[in-house]
Amino acid sequence: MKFIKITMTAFSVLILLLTAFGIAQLCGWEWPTEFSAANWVMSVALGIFCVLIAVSAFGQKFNVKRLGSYILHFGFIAFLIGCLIYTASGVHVLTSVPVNNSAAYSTIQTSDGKLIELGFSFGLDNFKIEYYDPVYDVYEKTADGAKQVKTDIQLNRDGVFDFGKYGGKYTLANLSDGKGGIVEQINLKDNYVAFVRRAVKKYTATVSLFDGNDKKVKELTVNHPLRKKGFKIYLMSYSDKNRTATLLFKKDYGEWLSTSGLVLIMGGTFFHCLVYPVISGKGKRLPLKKEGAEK
Amino acid sequence: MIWVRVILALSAVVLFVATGLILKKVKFSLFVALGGIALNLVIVIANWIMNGYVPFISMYQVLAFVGVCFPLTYLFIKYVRKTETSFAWFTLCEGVCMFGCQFMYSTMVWQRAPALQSVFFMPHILCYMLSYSLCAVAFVQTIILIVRKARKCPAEDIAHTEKTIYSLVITGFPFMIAGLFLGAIWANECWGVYWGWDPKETWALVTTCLYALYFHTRKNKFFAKIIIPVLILAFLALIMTFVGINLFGLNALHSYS
Repeated sequence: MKFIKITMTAFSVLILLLTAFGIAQLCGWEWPTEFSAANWVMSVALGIFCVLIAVSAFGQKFNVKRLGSYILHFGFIAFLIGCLIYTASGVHVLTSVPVNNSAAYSTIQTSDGKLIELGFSFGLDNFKIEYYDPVYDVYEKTADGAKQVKTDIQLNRDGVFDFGKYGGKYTLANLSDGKGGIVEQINLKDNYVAFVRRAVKKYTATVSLFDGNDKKVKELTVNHPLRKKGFKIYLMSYSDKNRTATLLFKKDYGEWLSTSGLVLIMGGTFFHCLVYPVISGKGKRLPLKKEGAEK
Repeated sequence: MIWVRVILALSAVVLFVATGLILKKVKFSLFVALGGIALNLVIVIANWIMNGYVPFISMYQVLAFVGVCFPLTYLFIKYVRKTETSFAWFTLCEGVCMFGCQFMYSTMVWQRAPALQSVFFMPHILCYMLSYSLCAVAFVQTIILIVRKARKCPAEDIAHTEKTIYSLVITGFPFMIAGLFLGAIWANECWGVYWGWDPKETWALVTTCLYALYFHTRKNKFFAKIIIPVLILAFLALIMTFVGINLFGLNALHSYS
């Protein structure tokens, strides 16, 4: 009874907190981008929650039936320790780097002005953007400007841009600007107008990494961070106007523990909920009742 | 055109109910349902071919995919979990998904943003869709449980419904956990953080915690009294995560979904 009370209290407090934040977000409140009071509250709450449910799980008498449960609760602790290591010793620096094939940088600056030596140098040689076929957004002209009324009108499987009630259908040939491109603006019926937008297919940054006299040229893309001397380098965004890319430099000694923790939580849950009941025949213990039960 | 689709969908429901519940022609009713499932599968395959990748680009495609998860989860519940439950509840949920599809833009072509071009994309969504389909049937069973309790049905029937709900939720929960944490690992590879406190993430965590709370309430007679409210709140949180956030226009990091 003691352990179930601990678990229920931990869950209730966490759910209430999360729901309060969730409702606040629905009402328009945005989670702060910088580490703030909200982050502190949730980090502390999640930390206490992980400890309490782990104490509750491991405090009970050992039973092999609960092996999956032990694994998943151990995963929570591993994840928590990984996060604590990152909080204590991690590096997370966003930096804007101009595209320039002659410059190389060996330090990065944190938001509070502290310089961090990377132990290697890097330069951003080139940046390439590949686009998908264009899409149109429809706006309604109003007295005080224009209001977007429909977005993401794409070339559909019939090969047309279908503007529906705003002004009919156009093929790619209809919208050719005569220079190999596509018209940027279409005046639809009444007060409606459509503007072209081109979705990005792929961002590719060509990065040079210098380690002494050793130079390696690598391609950096979204979802595929580069790894060098304990740092992970992420491609975050790109400004075409300034020809600068925003890179994230992250050093996280607890990452392997955090990720292993998440894998243990998933594995433990699958074992506890799906594998063990099947291999132990526990599923057969469910009182079976034929279709009559549903009538 | 949309009304033609709606009338066709309603006709299918009437045919299914008339043959199954009124005329008791169960085999014919099953035939009608299997026809609907086959058509649902055709839509998913057509979307897959159109995209050239798994059809998860829009709510239309995801709902169509959730639809085909119901028959699969029924087979798992019946033959692996060995829990007897009516196929009708699964087809009902599939029908609701397909009915919702009728009101959505269906001809959008695939433009996968760079952040979505990851090996985690397919398992993340697939796990969520499997868990959502099971939780939807569990919700229908919860309503049945409420009705049975209100009508003071035999204790055996009530116990059977409770066990069916448990069997559905315990099968869906690991997929929900996998969806959540695969998303976290993916976010760490894409943005360098496991968690971004995006509204969809916040509500996904609320949903997961509520379903986890359900398992813990079952362990104790005192807390077992709140099982029904917990299941209802969990499903409401699931609906908020799945469609509510999109309706509120608050899907920042998940703006693709």
